[in-house]
Amino acid sequence: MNVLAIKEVSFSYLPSQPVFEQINLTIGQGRFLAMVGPNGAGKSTLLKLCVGLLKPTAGRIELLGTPLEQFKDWSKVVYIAQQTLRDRNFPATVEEVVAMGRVAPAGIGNRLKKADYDLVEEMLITVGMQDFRKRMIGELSGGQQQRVAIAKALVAKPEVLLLDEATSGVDTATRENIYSLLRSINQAQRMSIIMVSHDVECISHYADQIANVDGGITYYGDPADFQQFCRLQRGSRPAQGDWGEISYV
Amino acid sequence: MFELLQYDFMQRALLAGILVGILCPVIGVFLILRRQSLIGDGLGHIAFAGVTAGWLLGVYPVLSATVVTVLSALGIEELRSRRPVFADMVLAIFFYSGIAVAIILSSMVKSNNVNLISYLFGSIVTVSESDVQTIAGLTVVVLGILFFIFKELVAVTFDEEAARVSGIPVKKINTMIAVLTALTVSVSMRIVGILLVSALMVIPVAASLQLSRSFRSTLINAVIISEISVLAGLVLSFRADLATGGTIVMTAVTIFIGAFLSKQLNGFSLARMGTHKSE
Ligand SMILES: Nc1ncnc2c1ncn2[C@@H]1O[C@H](COP(=O)(O)OP(=O)(O)OP(=O)(O)O)[C@@H](O)[C@H]1O
Ligand SMILES: [Mg+2]
Repeated sequence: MNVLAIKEVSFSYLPSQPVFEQINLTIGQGRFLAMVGPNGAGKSTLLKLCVGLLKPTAGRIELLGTPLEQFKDWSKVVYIAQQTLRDRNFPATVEEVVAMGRVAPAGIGNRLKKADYDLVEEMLITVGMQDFRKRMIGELSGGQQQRVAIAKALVAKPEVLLLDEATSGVDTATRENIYSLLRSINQAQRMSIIMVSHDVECISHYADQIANVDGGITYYGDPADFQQFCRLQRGSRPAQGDWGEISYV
Repeated sequence: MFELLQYDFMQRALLAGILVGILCPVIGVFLILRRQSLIGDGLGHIAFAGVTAGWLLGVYPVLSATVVTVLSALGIEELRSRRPVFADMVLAIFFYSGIAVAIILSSMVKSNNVNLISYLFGSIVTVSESDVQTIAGLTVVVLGILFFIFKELVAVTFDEEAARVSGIPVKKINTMIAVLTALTVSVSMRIVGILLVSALMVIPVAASLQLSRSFRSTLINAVIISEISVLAGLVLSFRADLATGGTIVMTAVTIFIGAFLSKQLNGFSLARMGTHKSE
């Protein structure tokens, strides 16, 4: 089964400026797909379309085999936005933020139980933030905040994780650290990951698929072949459509 | 302090004050963090239109105010969710319409404007048995609903998009917050007065934010600060024969200033320690 299928999807914020026109992409279960591409290419937009925060102007999207409009299993999907902390002064501890990931799974109106808090503790350890549990969320560095966001995602035990990497405040070493963490989670828990990355070079070592987003999907496939694609592109730029339909899944 | 309790009206005022003192900051935490601090103020002015309408029609003013504020809150929330950019403007329009209607209606009320004024400024002597019953009933309802959807409210307030994707019914939660705010305003206006209702939702929370280092403690400290303000304010206003609402709010403001200064001073000394270390 496919985790995600994007079929002939078009989208525009303003009628005169389409971000996507009839793009296609299918992602198999258990994959770790990295979306790369220049700023403003549409990576965040594509991720928001996939989780229903934006509606395509044409075409359809299927999550876990179900068209988005009918999709109900939201407990299986977690989305982490590019900017996870909107308000640095929000009064909450790391622990409290991670526990918010259990809110939907616990069910509306139900209290969180000991098992929920045990899971919070477990995931704090997984992401290596257990010593920061009482710290205020706004007092963490960019990389630490991203780890907390990942822990908050993991406590929901999703089948699919869609993650929009933060652009600012994360150095290469921390970034690599987080990629390797995600890679191990992807392998250990068979959790499918679709991640926007801003470091093509680095993510290629961790992801098992790359999608290059640039007004469409201009490349989709193996990280190794992507190097080749980049070299090719630097020489004679292939027509975008040539790469749009390729799918190895 | 205890001799105050001989007076029936003081018993009623204290009871009503304690309830309002819990309610206002609990709802206020969410309003402040959602950048909607002023919605209580807008709804307060709309409540005044409701009070005057009730007065004219011979309906219990707290009831008519409750109906009008709840309906307006639903309208404001609906428009806000459609056009978040204009949320401010929408609130302003409701706010001024509320005052305008209230002014027109109160000019039609020929007799006894003293009682209308007690709604504006809050008054302990005019709190009646039925006021206390209404306040108690609404407080139980609002706190009950808040308790039920508390964790969802926190999650939506922290990150609305993530909450929406995780399947939390964000729109329903937002509507609920609007309705609960309206109810809180209606409940609180007898004690602190329409003009200062919003202050009790905002100031204790603002003070608590200076001192607290988790969501839990922010909430608890806000309620404690609010209760201190209400109780001290009530006693003081009785002793010194001052206006109730104003005294309560100025007590809260004093606590806020204390909290703010203590935070600044702490920050200052930490910063100085920092520079000494790096020297
Ligand atoms: N809310 C919006 N309203 C109008 N246009 C938008 C909006 N958000 C994004 N855009 C436009 O859509 C295009 C795609 O933006 P998007 O945020 O998806 O890019 P991105 O690939 O995520 O970029 P980055 O690498 O900087 O995160 C850009 O041209 C951007 O200007
Ligand atoms: Mg982006």
